[in-house]
Amino acid sequence: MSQDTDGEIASRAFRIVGIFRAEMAATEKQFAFVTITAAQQMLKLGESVSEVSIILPMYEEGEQVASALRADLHRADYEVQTWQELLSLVTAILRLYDGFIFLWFLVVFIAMGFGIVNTLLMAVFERIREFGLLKALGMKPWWVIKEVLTESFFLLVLGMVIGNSLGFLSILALSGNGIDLSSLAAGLEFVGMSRVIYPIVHGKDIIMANLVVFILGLVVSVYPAVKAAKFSAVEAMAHT
Amino acid sequence: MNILECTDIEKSYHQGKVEVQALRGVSLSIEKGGFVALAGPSGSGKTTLLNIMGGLDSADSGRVTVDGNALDEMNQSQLANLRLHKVGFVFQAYNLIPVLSALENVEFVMLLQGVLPIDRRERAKAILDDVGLAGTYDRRPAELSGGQQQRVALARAIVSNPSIVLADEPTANLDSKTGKGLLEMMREMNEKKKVTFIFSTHDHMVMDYARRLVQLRDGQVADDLVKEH
Repeated sequence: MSQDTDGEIASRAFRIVGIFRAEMAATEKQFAFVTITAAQQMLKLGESVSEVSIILPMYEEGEQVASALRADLHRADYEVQTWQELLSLVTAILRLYDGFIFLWFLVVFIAMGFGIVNTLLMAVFERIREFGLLKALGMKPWWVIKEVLTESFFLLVLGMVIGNSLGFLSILALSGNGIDLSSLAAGLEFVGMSRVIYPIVHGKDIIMANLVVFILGLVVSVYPAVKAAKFSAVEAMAHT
Repeated sequence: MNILECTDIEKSYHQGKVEVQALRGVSLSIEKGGFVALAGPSGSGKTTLLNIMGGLDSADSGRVTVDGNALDEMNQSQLANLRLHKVGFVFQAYNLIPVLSALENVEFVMLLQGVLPIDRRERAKAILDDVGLAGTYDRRPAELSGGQQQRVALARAIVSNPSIVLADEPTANLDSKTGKGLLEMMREMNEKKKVTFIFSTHDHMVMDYARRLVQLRDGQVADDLVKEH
């Protein structure tokens, strides 16, 4: 049952010839598929269609494709809308979700920063006598800073190599069959998530995450480096 | 000509809540090529004075000049540069870098000075040979005896031809025979290479080797004796 082009109630009985299985029960309840001819007859559309939906591989491409279509169809009486425009509530929820993700990253990176500072401070304090000796032998404060930062650089590079490798391996292992969350199906249904999720990785994300880790790591390493440079040689060598 | 001059040096530090006056107006001139012992009991201010002479510590008041450079007018970087090029240190506890071999320990100062690898290796080997450590180039400090470690420290102190070598109780951790050997080596370096040596001690055997004996007591110069040899 629906509304036809004259604004009248249009209804027709169909014989069910098959059922489909979707990821979510809600999708199965929401959609019934008929042939386009049957729909056009029922809604008195002739040979017209009311809407063409285009599914894109990446959801971020919507605006770009919509702009291209608007440019191509600007003379005809067509309206091109992205899913964000059509589903403003979902868009708002996703923006909120992005905000949460940003906060989560912020917390993770701050924790990482403290972790690096703590590791390097321990490494500096454990070798306080050596730093004192190096200064006594004529190492300038700036060279001590450079030495600690170089150490931090190699720690970061090593950490990034190990972290990226583990990340890639886990994505590789999980990308075949995906992550089965069917035991949480009811909850996932509520938030509109599939029962099986597949991890994917974008080059942009890898570069961004590594860059943030690298720059943040080096920036927070300045504190232990300056600390090491400020020890007086006499105090440092007297340290037991 | 004086290579080092101390004028009215005062220094105090805190030991817990107690203020200790380590130096009370010490004035001293050390001539170029000298072989000088700073003697005195524990707490007389020997180590504090050596640290101030080498720019490792700063005086509360007074003035120190090393080879014409007033230390109180220099910043940390300039002081490090002075230590790198003009002052060699020998410490009581040897203070070698444990992860480096004997040869690398001696090379280290030249590495900081920017000496080319071939030159510094050659010079380090030559100086280790001079202190009787040929054949121990690749041994790490843990694989060397105390006497050998102190000779590596001596080699490190003189390899870059400094104006002064400051040695803080260099024989204190050595037995008398090894200590004597080290002192003879230091005197040989002093005579051959004209390096000025200033060393602290409270050992009479070590004092006997000095050509000039400065006695410190309670942070003041109690006696300054130039010996005939």
